[in-house]
Amino acid sequence: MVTRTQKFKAFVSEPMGDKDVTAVDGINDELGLKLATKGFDKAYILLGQFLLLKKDHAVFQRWLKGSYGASPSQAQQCASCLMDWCYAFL
Amino acid sequence: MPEFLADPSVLTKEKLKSELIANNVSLPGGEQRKDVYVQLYLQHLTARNAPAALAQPDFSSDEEREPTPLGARSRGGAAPGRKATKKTDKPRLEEKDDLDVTELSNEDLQEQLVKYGVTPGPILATTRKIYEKKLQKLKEQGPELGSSTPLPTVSSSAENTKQNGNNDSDQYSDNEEDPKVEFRLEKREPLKAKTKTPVTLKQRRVVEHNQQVVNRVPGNFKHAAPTLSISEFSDLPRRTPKKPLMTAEHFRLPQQEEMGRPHKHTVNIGHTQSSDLLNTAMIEVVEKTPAEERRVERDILKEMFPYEVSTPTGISASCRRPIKGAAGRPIELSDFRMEESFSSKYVSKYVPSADDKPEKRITKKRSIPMWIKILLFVVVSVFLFVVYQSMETNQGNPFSKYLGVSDTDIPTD
Repeated sequence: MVTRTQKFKAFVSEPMGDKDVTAVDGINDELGLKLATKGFDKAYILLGQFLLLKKDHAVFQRWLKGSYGASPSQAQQCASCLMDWCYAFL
Repeated sequence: MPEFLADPSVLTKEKLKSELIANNVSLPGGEQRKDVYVQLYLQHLTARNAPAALAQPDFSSDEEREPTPLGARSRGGAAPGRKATKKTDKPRLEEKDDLDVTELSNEDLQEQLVKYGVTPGPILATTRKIYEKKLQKLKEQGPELGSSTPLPTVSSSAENTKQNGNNDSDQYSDNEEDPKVEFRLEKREPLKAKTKTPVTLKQRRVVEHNQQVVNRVPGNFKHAAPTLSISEFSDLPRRTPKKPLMTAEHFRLPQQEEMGRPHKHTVNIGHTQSSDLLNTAMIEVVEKTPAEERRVERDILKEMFPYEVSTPTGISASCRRPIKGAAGRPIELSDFRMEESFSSKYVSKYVPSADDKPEKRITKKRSIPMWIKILLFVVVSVFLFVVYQSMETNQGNPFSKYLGVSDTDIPTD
């Protein structure tokens, strides 16, 4: 099992509420800024996109990598973080 | 570049002529009536001044026609045109318009919206149409408001995070044409803006009530209550609060009539204060009218849940209980009993890591303490050991010494 980062645990342990998109695991400041300028400045908006893509890991990662230049690991972390959040709260 | 007059008739004929000539407009030969020059002036110069005036009727159409070149021209003419102030507001503000909103790229659309003080979410294929409509509306309102329309700092939306939720909520709640709001599933801001305190208190009460409802063992609504609580959990943040509330109320009333006395006894086993208060609350509720109900509920809520954080909106996000029995999660009886302590515990415990939580839940409350169990086990094992020891293993007839006396009394194992 992949050891989860602290950020991941912190995000998945509670409803995301109004957290910034940088609070999502895998989203660093740079990527967060890129997302924010395009309108994804809150975590829930990114979640919205994830859900729109039917919670499909691969598609979401592709989208993140293609549109915002995320690295594969970043995208993967982000997708799994959101997925786990959904599993816990959705 | 001089501003062209909207009403050239204020100028003298000579002036008109000179203006026309200065702008390379061919004059009719000979001395003409002033009207002619006025017309010429209007045609060529005023048109150049505010091409938006011509194109405005086409404003709302989506076809690609004249608006396109005019739009491009207006964009080009916008910058120099802004200098003049003495004219009517119309030409100046129209220059700000990018006439055909559908022509705008996503970024431009975003910029335009930001100019009006709206911080839009991501403009994607799904959201684009909505933002276009919004921009159109704002543009129509904009010229009416005059030049004092708030032109906020065009900062990146990252800096607008604080306003973001409020702005969006205002827009969304006002805008009736917004069919796609629902796709923002987890958006709590509109709820915050909309709901007022009594309603949110009702919400909470219903939510808490349902949690307690599940606690009670009576079977006939045990299966119904969790489904209601589940649907409520999912519905409440998203939909109008009144809807689930109504169903909950319908639900509550028949339940009281059915259960009556017996369930009061069962309730008193585990919980003391709050359930008694709840009982009294329920009785009160049945008697009172809905209008009074709210007042009573508010007080009762305070009594019942003193631990609840009082937030300005009345909503405190509490962790949803994972659905027992779903997604392969094992059902544990102890979990039903622990629910009440949860709601208050979650308020204070928002930091724990996810891994520790399940263990904590288990170790917190047990029907029989662990050490007693261990002790019992040790005692039983010692007893068995002693029994085993006392059994004789030698082959000889254990009853040999008794044979001489009698062999009836000794019980055989």
